[in-house]
Amino acid sequence: MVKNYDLVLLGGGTGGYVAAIRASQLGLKTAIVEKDSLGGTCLHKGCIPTKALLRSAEVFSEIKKSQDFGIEVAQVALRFNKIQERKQAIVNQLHHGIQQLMKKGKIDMINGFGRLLGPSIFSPIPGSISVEFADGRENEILTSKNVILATGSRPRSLNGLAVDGEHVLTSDEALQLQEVPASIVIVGGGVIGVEWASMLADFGSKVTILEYSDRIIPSEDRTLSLSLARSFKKRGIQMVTSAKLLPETLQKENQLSISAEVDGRTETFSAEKILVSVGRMPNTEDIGLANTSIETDHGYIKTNAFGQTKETHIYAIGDITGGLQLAHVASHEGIHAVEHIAGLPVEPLQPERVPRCIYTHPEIASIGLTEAQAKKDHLVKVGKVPFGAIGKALVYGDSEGFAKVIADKSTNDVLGIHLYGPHATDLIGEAAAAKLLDATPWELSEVIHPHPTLSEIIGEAALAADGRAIHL
Amino acid sequence: MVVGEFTTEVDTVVIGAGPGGYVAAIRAAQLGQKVIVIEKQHVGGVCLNVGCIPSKALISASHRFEQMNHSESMGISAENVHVDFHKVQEWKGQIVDRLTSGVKGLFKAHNIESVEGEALFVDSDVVRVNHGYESSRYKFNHCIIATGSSPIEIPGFKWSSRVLSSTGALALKEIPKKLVVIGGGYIGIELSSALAGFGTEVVILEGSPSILPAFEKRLIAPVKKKLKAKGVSVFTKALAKGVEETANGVSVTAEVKGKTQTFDADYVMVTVGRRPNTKDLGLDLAGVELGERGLIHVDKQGKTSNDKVYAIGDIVSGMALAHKASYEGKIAAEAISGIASEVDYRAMPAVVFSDPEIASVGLSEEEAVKEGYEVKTGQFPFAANGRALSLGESDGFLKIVSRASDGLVLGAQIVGVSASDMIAEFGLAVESGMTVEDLALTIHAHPTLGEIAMEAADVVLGHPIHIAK
Repeated sequence: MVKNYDLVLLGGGTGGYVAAIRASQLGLKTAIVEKDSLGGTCLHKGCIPTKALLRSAEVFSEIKKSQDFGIEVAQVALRFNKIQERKQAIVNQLHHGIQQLMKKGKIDMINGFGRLLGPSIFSPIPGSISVEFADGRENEILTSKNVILATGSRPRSLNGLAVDGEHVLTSDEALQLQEVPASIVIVGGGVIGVEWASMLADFGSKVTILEYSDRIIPSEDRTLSLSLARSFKKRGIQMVTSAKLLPETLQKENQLSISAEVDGRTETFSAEKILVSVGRMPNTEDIGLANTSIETDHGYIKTNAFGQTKETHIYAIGDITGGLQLAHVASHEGIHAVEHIAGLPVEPLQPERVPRCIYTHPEIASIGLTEAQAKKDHLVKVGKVPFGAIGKALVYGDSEGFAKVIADKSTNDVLGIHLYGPHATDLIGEAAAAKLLDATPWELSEVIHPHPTLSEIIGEAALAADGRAIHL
Repeated sequence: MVVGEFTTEVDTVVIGAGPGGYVAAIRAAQLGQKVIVIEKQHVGGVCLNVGCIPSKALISASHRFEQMNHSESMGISAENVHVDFHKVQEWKGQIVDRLTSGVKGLFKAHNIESVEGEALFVDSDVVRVNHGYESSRYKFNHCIIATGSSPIEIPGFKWSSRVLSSTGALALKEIPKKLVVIGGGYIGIELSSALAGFGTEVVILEGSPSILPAFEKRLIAPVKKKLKAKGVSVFTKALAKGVEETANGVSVTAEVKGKTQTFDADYVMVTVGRRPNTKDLGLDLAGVELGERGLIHVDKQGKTSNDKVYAIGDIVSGMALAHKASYEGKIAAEAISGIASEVDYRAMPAVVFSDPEIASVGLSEEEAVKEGYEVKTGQFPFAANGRALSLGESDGFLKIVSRASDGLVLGAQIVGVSASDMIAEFGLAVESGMTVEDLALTIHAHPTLGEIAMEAADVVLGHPIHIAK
């Protein structure tokens, strides 16, 4: 059976389904081929379920601190199955919502594994898609004027450290935990690793992070790394940086144990579970790229600024293109690709305008250049203000953290904004708008931030960058 | 002149050390002036001592208490949760102390002299400060009046230990079992919400047809719903007539939709508004003219009818908001330092720390239409946002009001969790003339509440992603 479309999306994650909706708005006959569940990693194995768990963890740790402000509680206990149920209910609700959106947009959902075909009887050019079904029925062939590849990524595993789902986990399996492990070694202190560390520590696990580089969240501004590390340390999270894991040393007796080379010595760490969070790899091996002239680099698909591959009618978006592997990057790239296909004017995505959020406690949100990156090409001025100087943060009962605004001394352009503290992820929206506008610290300081709100910290840090802070 | 009274000459005298006055003083000092701040009671003013900060502290504690009582849904069981109100008040006091001592520290750091006492103009460029039996005089080049406002006392409700202003309510030593609140404006609603969260049975009597009458109806619906869930009874078109104090409580009489009713409670709190503190300043001697309702008339830089005297904050027209006072304070400080600043209220936000929060900036749809704009609006619900769901707070929506011809953002209104944090982006949008297309193009991180702003912009543009037309 052959079906014809204007656009077929390979993958129904955040990149794919958003692009599909945009395509349907623009009148394109659209289909999504998804092997698993609509919503992809983000909805089922990433952003959403982890944030649901993190919220429970946050409430749990807040309750334990509630004495500070006069609220007493006799006993607090976790009902981890309830926590998991709540998580699943949220995922289901959103999943249902997206399915409805597909229906309303008249987008065909094809639940199977799609692969690109080369030139064939269906089309003289590569890009027809053959869909294989789990139940073994005959493959379906889709031909389409355009294709967007949005197959996403999966957790990277370490050579020699096999993920067994019981002792050695990736985030995929960790999300299914039925109880809180008494102790865990987290291999990799990047975004995913530190979020799990923060969550599990709040739930009462003894957490050890092994990080290869010299600091956790190494891609973020150094002050963010150091501040988070300080906070983690206070909460009893052990962090071992510059640690080179020795996978072959894994032993599974009673407890798990594994060793790492740290400062030339070999240290051994034991725990009930090991979580491997060393990054994600693109799902590009088995999607038929070899049948096309699409080029890859270490598995990542090469595209131009509009998302076009070497086969210009085939686009690629999201995690498979490398760069920042974030849901909101995928969805924006998806929209851009569709609009480019539809002949609308498109301004390519600029990485310095992409906000990055880490849902640790305290939260981290940042955009643009780190201070070290900025200093490479600019003479910079920096304004840094602690949340302790912001009334609302004190009132909120959580004033750890700061805001840092980095600007170019001569052009006054804001180069980066880094937030660490309560509601940082809510506050980054303004920073993102400011980056779009190429705002200056002066412009940010002219914005009247209501009092008493956490957002005052952005105005204040902007003032500080210009050397005229009021509350510092 | 009193014998022994010295006259000190200074560049700038600031009267009142609230968020208007202290910010003005710091800004003036940054610009090189020698500044003296006169404060009769608390450095930090109403906001820090008996307003924004302590009320938000109670709201925050109450919110956490409620959260603990409802934590079952988060998979956490908390048993025997109770409030030690004495400790809550102590915690609140610590925050106030920390912030007020912070302001004092800032004065020191900027070489601002802080003088305790009551200020009185004795000439067009001289103030006298009375402090107990002592007094001193300051001759100034410029003066910024920032004396703020006080709660309005209404006939039949004289302040007492049972008839409370917001100040009195914030200092309560116990959680009232029952409280009558007269006035359902933002102060009344915030404190009602906080106390109801702690378990007080609250009755609100509001004279107009709706609580929070300054906001559009749809915006307050989620707040009404939540108040109801907390057991707060709201009577609108209710005119408070009088109060009788009993041995351990009050009995409030009110005319509700034409019928007389009485409400018994432990306390009654009157929050019907605030009046400017401009009466006892000797303004006539300074040649500063008063306008209607005791407000001082000023120009766009805050200058009064006396060229040397400026006025800011609650004593000039506009909303009585701390950040408005700070903003006007900065402008006035810059004006007297020769910088050509002037006020522009287009991007002045307002926040109500109700449950859920309400925040707005710029024009509402009604205001925009009234001003002659052809508008296009877009709304997006929190319930369609993943972050809101994961927080377990999915009530509310965000609305953008834009100019139909080119999408210029004229204003935004938000009701929902963290509305107070989210409004800042729209402050920037209105301030810098962003369009809805700009907001839609701004990459908002996933999963954050900020995506709601982007999606509402997409709604205005006619192509939202996460909501079907």
